[in-house]
Amino acid sequence: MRTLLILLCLSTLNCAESTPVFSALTVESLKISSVDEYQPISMVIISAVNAGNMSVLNSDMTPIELAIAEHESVAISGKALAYPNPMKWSDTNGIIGYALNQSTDVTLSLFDMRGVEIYTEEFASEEVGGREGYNKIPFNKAHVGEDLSTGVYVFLLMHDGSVLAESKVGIHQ
Amino acid sequence: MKIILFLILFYTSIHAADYYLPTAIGSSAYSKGIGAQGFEKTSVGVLDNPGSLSHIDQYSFSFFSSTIMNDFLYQTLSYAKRISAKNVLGMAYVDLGVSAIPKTSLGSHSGFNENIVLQDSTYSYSNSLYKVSWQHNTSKTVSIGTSLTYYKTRLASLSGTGVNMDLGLHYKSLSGLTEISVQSSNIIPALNVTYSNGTTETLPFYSTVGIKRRLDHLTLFIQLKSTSLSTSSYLHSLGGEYKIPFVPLSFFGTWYQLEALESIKDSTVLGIRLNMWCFKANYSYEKSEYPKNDNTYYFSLSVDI
Repeated sequence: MRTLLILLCLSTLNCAESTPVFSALTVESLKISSVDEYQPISMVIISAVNAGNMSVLNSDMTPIELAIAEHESVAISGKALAYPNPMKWSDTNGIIGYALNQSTDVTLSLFDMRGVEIYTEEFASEEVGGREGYNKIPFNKAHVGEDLSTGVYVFLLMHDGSVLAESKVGIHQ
Repeated sequence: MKIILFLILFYTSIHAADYYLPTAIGSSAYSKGIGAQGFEKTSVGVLDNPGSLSHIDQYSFSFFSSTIMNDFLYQTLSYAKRISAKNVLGMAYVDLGVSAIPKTSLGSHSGFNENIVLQDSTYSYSNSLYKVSWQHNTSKTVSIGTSLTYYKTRLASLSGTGVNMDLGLHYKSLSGLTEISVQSSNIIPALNVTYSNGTTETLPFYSTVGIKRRLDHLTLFIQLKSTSLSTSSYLHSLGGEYKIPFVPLSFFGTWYQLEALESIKDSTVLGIRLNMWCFKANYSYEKSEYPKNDNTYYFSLSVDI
């Protein structure tokens, strides 16, 4: 078994968020894909740890990219669904319900049948729409403030550009 | 001239738009890619501008398909036939549909101490229209046309139907270098779509004025389209097509504006056309706002005899 010597250079750290991640890291979890498997690794220097990303240098100072898994990725358990569906748009009881595994910022995006984004709304972490557990966010004409034609719309719930959930809602007058 | 004045009068009036027109997606990959209606020279004119059916020689058949956001299937079929030296008849069918829409209720579920939204079953949606068109040549350069449209939609158990009319005018200079397309859709404001629950939606009136100018191998297209926005404004588009010399291929593209509720956005479409024998095959794509798709793709095919 090859010996892997890791020197941790902590001088450039600004790792308030990444420290717990880093402390959980083991040598076995490292994947150094850019190193020739037949070439013994004499030294790998972890030169910086910043918000979960490390820059790793080989002994010849060539960079090796590593990715460290974050604590637990933001996810929606089960489905995100609109109620009622189909929905009378003028009724004020229309909602979208979903269960978040942790509190986080969430963005709702609504698309019409051309695939054009026609509405977005932000929900802050810890508030309704962005808190851990089940969230019911208002989704109706009174809340959105726009007339929508009878038809089917696609809504996405996103966090940091990633799609957490997608569903369709039928709307009528 | 009276017809032109009539259309311009309609063009300057703006009505509130309510009913979702499936043709908002487009009538062909080519007209989508040049950003202008009424310059197809195929049976697509039934959907674009019935006045442009004057280009039909004997008959024309066209098909257009696209899948929007992976689930919405959009298809059009059109057919046009010359019935005399000055008259062409056409018909078209358009359908936009999607299935597996979750039907929901509120109920209890283990792990939650409140009622949550549960899926009970699924339902489907369909938005179709049928058009019958007539075109007539009033002179060597001007032709007019009209279409009767029957709208039919279904959302779960809710259904709706409506009828309205389109008018179109097409001008082509004797040199063939310049063409003008003027059309108005849903010109009768009193005719709405009525639903089985007693509600109605206005069939949105809109007009387009487009100019095509050929410059050797390059053709330019400019179009203005009226909107239903509360602030009166027009949607602009600018397109071009470049025909490769000695090869039956052309490339086309457009920058165009579109409505998104009360705002105006813009987009670009790029495409390629193979024009060989009696076939015109068009493929175009548009950058998608929907984050799970990079692009939306359009394909259309026409057979013209």
